[in-house]
Formats: sequence, C-alpha cells, structure tokens
Amino acid sequence: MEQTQPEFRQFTYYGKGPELFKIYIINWLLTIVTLGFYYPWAKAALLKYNYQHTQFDGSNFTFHGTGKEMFKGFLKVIGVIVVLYGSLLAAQLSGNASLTLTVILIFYIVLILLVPFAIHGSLRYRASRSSWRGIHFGYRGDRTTLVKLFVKDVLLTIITFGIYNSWFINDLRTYIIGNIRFGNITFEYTGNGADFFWLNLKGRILTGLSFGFYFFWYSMELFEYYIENIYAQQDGKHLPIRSTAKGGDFFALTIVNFFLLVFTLGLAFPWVQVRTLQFFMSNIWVQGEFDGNSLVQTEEEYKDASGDDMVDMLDLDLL
Amino acid sequence: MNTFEIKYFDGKTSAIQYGTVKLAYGHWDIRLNHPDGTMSSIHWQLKDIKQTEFVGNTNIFKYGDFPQQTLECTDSDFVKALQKEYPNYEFFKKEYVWALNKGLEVFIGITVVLLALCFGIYKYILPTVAEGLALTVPQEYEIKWGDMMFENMIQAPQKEDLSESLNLTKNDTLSKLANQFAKEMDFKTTYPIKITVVDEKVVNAFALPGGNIVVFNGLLQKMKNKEEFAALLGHEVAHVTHKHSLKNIFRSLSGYLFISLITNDLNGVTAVILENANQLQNLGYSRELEAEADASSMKTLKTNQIATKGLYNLFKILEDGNHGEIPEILSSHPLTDERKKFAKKNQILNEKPIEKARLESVWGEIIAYNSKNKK
Repeated sequence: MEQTQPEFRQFTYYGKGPELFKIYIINWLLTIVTLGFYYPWAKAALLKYNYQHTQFDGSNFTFHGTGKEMFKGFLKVIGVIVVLYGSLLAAQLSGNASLTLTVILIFYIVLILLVPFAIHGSLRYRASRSSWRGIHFGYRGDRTTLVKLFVKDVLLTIITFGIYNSWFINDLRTYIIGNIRFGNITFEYTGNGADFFWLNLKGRILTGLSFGFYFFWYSMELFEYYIENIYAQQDGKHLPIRSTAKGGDFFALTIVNFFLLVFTLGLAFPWVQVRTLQFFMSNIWVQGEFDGNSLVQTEEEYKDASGDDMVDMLDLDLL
Repeated sequence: MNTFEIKYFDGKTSAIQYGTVKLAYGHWDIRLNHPDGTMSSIHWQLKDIKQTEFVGNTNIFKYGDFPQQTLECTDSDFVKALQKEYPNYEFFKKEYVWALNKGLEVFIGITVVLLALCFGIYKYILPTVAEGLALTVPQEYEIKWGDMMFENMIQAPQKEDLSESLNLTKNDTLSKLANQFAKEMDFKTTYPIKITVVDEKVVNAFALPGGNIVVFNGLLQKMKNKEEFAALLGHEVAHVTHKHSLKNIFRSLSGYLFISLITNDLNGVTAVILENANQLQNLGYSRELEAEADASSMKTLKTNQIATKGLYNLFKILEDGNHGEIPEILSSHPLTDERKKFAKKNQILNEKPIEKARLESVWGEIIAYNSKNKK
C-alpha cells in the first residue's frame, strides 16, 4: 500500500455549520437548564466534534476527554475562585485598610501564580487527550520550571513597562512547544524576542497609520511567525511547518464573519467557527518526508483536568 | 453479510493496518492482513467498545484502556448492521446522535422557543427574584455597607492632604443644620437618616444605602424656600427606605449573571450586544426608581403638611442647574418631562400648609450661612 509521499501535507477542517449549530443549541439548552454546570460536557462535545472533523494525511484527530473528567476540574476551579474572591470581599467588608491591602496583594500574587499552573495543567490534559491514528500527544514540561520562567518574565515585563513582553511570549512558546511530544515526533520553536518585538512594532505603527486596515496583514504576520517557527522532527528528519495565510483573505474572512454575527445577533456563530477553522487549518502545511505510519506511542496516561477549565476561566488563549 | 472492511490502529504505532470486522455474538472478530501476507485475529468484547460521538463519513470505534485500539469503517451499512445485530446495545451517546439526525428546522424551533424563554425570564422573572433577594439583606448590613461607601467618598476638611477618590469636602455647619431640618420632618422610615452637605458647586444630591444622604451645596444655594429642600429630602430618604441602591445592584448583577450564563459558550459580539441591552434596561429601571422616590416624596410633603409645590420647584432648579456641568457618574436623577408632569399633577392647589416655626428657622439659618459665605 506504500505510495510516493507528496512534499507537503495540509490540514483540513470539514465540520459543517448545520451540525455545529445543532451541537451549540443542545449545549446552550443544557447549560442554561443546569445553571452552567453542563459547561464541561458542552466543551467536550465541541472539542470532540472539531477534532474529529480535522484531518491530516487522511486521518482524523480524536479528542478523548470527557465532560466528567473536566467537571471535576471545573469544580476545583470554582472552589479556587470562590476562596479568592471570598477572601477579597471579606477583607473589604472588615473595613481594615492594611488587611485589605495585604489581601489584595496576595490576591494578585496568587492570580499570577495560577496562570502558569493553569497553562501547565491544561497542556498536560489537552495533549494527553488528543490523538491521531491512535497515537497520543503529550506535554512533558515541568511545572516548577514553567512557574519560575513565568514569574521571572512577568517581573521583567513589569520593570520594562511591557517591552519585555515580546521576549516573554517567545520564552513561553519555546518552553511549551519544546516539551510537546507526538509519539516519537518532537517539536522546536525558534522564534525570538527581538524579531518578534520589531514585528509587533512595525505591525502596530502600520496599523495606526492605515487607520486599522493593516491589522489584518499584521495578524497574518503574527500567525505566520508563530507557525513557521515551529519545527517538527521525526527520527532526525526535519519537518518545517508553513503558513500560506494571506492578509487579504483574512480581511475578507473577518468582515464576512462580522456581518454574519451582527445580522443574526450571534446565531450564525457555528458557521463563523466553521469558516474560521477552515481558513486556518487549510493554511497550515507540513513540509518534508513525514511518515504517518511510523509514529510510536510514547506517552503515559494522565488524569487531571483541572488546568483546562482554569485556562478558560482566566480567559487565556493558548493557540 | 456481517463482515466489513476496516482500518485498524493498535495504539502502539500509527501504522495503518487493513482488515475486516465480523459482528459475532458478544464480540467483534477482527482479522488483520499484514504486509508480509500473514494474518492475525483479535477479539473486541462488546462491553469495552466505545464509539466516538460524532459520525462523519467514517465511523470510529475505540477499544480498551490507554492506549486505545482504534477501528475505522467507512461502510455506511455498518451502523445499520450494528443496530440489527446488537439491538439492546448503545454504541452512541444519545443526545448528540438524536440531534444530528433531526432536521435543522427542529433546531431553529428550539432556538426560537429558547430565546423567547430567556427573554421572558430576563424581563419578568429575574427582576422579581432580584428584588426579593435585595429585600432579604438585613438592615444592619445595609447600614454598615453604606457607611463604608460613605467613608470612602467624604473626607473631613482637615484631612485635605490625604484626599483621594471623590474628594468631597464636608461642610460641618450646613450638615448640622440640614440634620436639624430633617429631624423636624416625619419620613416614616426605620433607617437612621444622616445628611451630609458637601462644598461642591454641582447641583445634585444622592443617597447611599443605609441612610447616608449627600447634598451638594450648589443645589442648596439655588433653593429659595424650605419646601424645595423638604421635597429633596423626601425624595432621597425614599431611595433609602425603599432600598433602591440594593435593588438596583441586585438587578444589574442578576442581569449580568444571566447574560453571561446564556452567552457562556458564545462569542464576543453577542455578549457585547446583550450587555449593552442590559445596561439600557437598567437605565429604564433607575427611571422607575426615581418615579417611585418622587411619589414617596410627594407623600412625605403631604404627611408633614408642607407645601407640595416644593417638588415641582425642585425639578425646575435641577433642570436649570444641570446645563452641562454635572459629572455623569453622580447624575442619578435624570430629569424627564414625566417627572415634572407628575409633580405638577399631584401638587395641591391653593393649599394652606401649616406654618412650622422650627423648620422655618432652621431653613433661615441655612440661607443666612450661605449668603454670608458667598460674599
């Protein structure tokens, strides 16, 4: 059955608006009826659908997570939030100024520390629950290392009035992507703060000068920078990843999506999501001699979903 | 025929293995053809087989513990055969399979019903519940809380250097006189009313939960007689007595929570549209509260036998004084024609109010203080 492998392989998303619409409606209904507690199941259903309708080299991805797993994490996250805000409220009500100040300080420190915890937990969970042809992804990063990196970079970003942010983002991506495994495929991120800083500076200046018009091209440059700096490696062979997304196409996508949402008061959201995923997936290509048959299962089982919801609650965007 | 072509992955490598599956009693019989021409066979026990929920063109089944084995079948007859062979066995998650097999119009129907339901809850049930909850807050908490807000806003004159936040400076003499004035009136309230006059040119006044009322001297200076001040106090005390602040907070909070619940999984655009609608709704609500306070003020004037034209005159002062200079955040008294109409309609013509010497003399002192300090 061996065939000559083409040089490029493309991702495809083939989810359909009407199907996604049905899933959204059911999720919506059940979330309201359960006062929000259905959320983890709703999320699992969407992830399953989207993974299963994303194809690479002729095979679908699979999301193995379940609502039940994520519900446990969801409860933990709610617990943390209740304790955090509860102590803030209690301190405020006590009327004691120095106590309030201390609690506010602790609140922010805990919040900053929670972010890397959440990222770590989410990556471990999400990666372990994603598979392709039965081979699971994995994240092997160390939580303590990530927390140290995160805290150091947050402090540097504050001290430099945000300039260090470019280095921060790239440090984080380097660490995270470097620790992702897909069977025996390893990943490497080669972006660096300086390039990224100039890219952002140029993007923002041109966006301002063009009254926001350049934003779409800027976004695609960012996307390209993120994607093209990822290198996959399989048995010593490099597999560069390429983006073909164009600013003009992204502009058209965004404008149409915007009108779709506004004129339907948001009900067209599933179709918007399909269009967006199709756009991004079809613009990511893997170059080189990828052998889809020779991946080996390398990761062990992992069971803790609390990070995943934490990332949602903190409104972090990982991808 | 109960045999189907399949692709199989063993969970150890990503290699595609081709073969067939035969639906047998209590298990599936999987036969794999290896590249070297040999064959092997695996049994999947029915109870450990899981189907992935969403069926595209390919039916995917997983088996066993981590790392799971995977079987893919593209034959459209496979699902039918499964149902025929194992009628009592559930391979599919019911809710979504049911959903995906129903027509789109069913879902549009569900959506319309849901939207109507949400709107009904938001419009009619939520406000009642929120107000009911607001009323359960014990008075002592409300007072404590209002005092805290008050401390944050008002500062004594001597602490001017430490000024922050709203920077309102208390006028001790006027505050004392205003409280004396209020003592002469019966507001029929169980709250401890405490009036603070602040030295600000702004023409406004507001009430905090629990009994603190703040009057800007700018408003006081524009008043010509005691009826206007009595009408103002009647209005502000009504806000306190009817727990308007609490009700307002509970209502906007519940509205916000409800909207974030229903837009939980949705997108930013919808959330923004709905949140703005919610704010408009709240603005309407604060008008309602104003009207309630006006009615209450009118009642207070009548109970105390103070001339009822005071309310109408008060509105005229507020209207004249509000040309452009009011800080929006404090403008809790949107003046509308309806409010003026209400005051006009309800005032008693040719009334003969009982002259109250004590009230008149305190008012005289306020006037005297302001005219002395103006020059």
